[in-house]
Amino acid sequence: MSIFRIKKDYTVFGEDFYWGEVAEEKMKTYLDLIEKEGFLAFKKKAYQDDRGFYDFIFSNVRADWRFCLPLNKDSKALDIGSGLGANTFVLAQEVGEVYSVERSLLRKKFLEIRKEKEGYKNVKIMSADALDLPFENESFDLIIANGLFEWLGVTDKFKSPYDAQKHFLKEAKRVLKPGGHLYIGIENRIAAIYFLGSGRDHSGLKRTSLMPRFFANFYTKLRTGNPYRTYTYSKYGYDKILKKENFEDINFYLVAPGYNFPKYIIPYNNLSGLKFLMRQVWGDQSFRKKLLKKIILFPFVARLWRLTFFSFAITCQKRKD
Amino acid sequence: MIDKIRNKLESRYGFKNISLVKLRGGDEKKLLFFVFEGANSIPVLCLKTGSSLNDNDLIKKEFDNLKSARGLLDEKMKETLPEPKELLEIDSRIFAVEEVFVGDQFSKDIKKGKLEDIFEWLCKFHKSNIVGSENISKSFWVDFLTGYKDKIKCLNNEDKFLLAIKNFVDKNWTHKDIKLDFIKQHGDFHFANIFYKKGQLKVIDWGNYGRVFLPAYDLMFFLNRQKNGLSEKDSFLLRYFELFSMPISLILVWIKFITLVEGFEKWSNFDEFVPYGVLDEYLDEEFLCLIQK
Repeated sequence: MSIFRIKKDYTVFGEDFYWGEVAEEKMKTYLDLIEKEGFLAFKKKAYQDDRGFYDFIFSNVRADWRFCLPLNKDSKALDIGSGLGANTFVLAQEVGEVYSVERSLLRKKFLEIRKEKEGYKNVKIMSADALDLPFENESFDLIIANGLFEWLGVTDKFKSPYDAQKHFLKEAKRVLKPGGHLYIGIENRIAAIYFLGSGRDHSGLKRTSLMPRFFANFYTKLRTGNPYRTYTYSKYGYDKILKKENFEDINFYLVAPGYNFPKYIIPYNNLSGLKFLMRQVWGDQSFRKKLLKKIILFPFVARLWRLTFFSFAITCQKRKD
Repeated sequence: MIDKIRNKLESRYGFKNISLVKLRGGDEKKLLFFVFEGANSIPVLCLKTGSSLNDNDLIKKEFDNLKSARGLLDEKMKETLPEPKELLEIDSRIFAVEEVFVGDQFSKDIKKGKLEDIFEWLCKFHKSNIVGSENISKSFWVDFLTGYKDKIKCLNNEDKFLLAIKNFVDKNWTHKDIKLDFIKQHGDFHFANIFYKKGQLKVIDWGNYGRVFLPAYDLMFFLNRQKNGLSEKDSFLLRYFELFSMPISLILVWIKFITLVEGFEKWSNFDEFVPYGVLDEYLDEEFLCLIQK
């Protein structure tokens, strides 16, 4: 059920919930800056504060996954959890209409300012709950769930995160037109960096995605006081849950350095492409790189690397009939 | 989009079962697709397209540049440039189809033997691209730098800045008129745009090719991005000066000017909100203090 209420001057479907690349206070400072000195002043400040953050908002690379999908000027897209609009505004240049849904009111305010300043007429911005989308059946040709799927379980509406994720897929299927596409950008549960302990799972702790769910739940409650609800899956796991919800034509792409900045997009089945790209991209000067380039030529190593790749771009289609 | 590209390439080139691997180029405005056929270990084609539909002209321009660059070279040198095939339009987006470049990419720390190969390539390339000669005098520099007036409007004290540049020229350019060859430059000649395989080079990224410019611009651009010591850089410059019959006494001031020009180039290509610090590495303090807020 949607929670319909009025907060300040916004109509809200769902709870206000801030998260983001910058802390809430910093985001407020940026919005103040925009109000007082304008959008260009914000761009300058963001660029100077953190080039990575600036690119995260304004770089077209963020939406390069769009080349994997059949989009055109008649397409209607829904970007759920659109953040600061990296995907929304790139897509808006290439499709007919984009609905940009963001739960955080601060981020929604930013989206509205950006829309106005950059002059996008075909973008509609709103707050809504991803698990209860306020749209008619069969409305969209494309749904974007970039960095969203793993967070769907962080709700008290469902007992298990898995149920929340399944419910989202049902909701997505409901609002997709027959033959419409769903795009998911997400981490791999069994990524090598988790095994190596060099990356943290969404729980904020190391290796929790690798643990059996019940144990991860026990462990995170012990360490952080919160249950473990940010489920990711392996390639096999994503494939299984999507098939269970009757999605078809499921395609996996390896994306590097991550789905949030897909500089490299390699079809999962193109092992030669993976090997070639990495050989090509790595210079040959250091001993380590030379060694890695030799090692990657072994099919077993390449397959293992693919299996434990950090993140995926996944596209799938709602049945046409 | 990928499906449409696949169908088009399969029908035009007779490939079977192709897949595409995407790589974003260094300038972010351009992206590349490597086209693989079946389980082949190396790609069969390279596809370039713009980051947005507004970049279509950029892709066309690079394709045309590549064609004209090859037109000036002998058969052996031609092999060091990718072969342009055709321009395709799919859903209002332009794709340039080119021969694929296969090989290893260089890094910032190229070993001396390979530096030698690159230097030789550049000299041969510049020799084939001489388009005339011009007298270089003080007024040349002043005219050249004031040509940037429109682009530096975002600066505070732009007039003071230009005046300082003129003073800089007055102080440093003590040579009388010197006649120098003017050369069509590659325009973005740095390590990431050079590939090699079994001793053969392949030079890519011809988007900035064709600008008739000062000798040694490409060489300085390249050397400035290398980690090698200054003495090694100087030896390449000395050899370049000899080859293009430039007075060796010019070398130090030439380095200053070319570096300044490169700074202007780089800076004028940025959006106005980019911090002025981008010029720090190119300009002396006497200029920097004029343009900082």
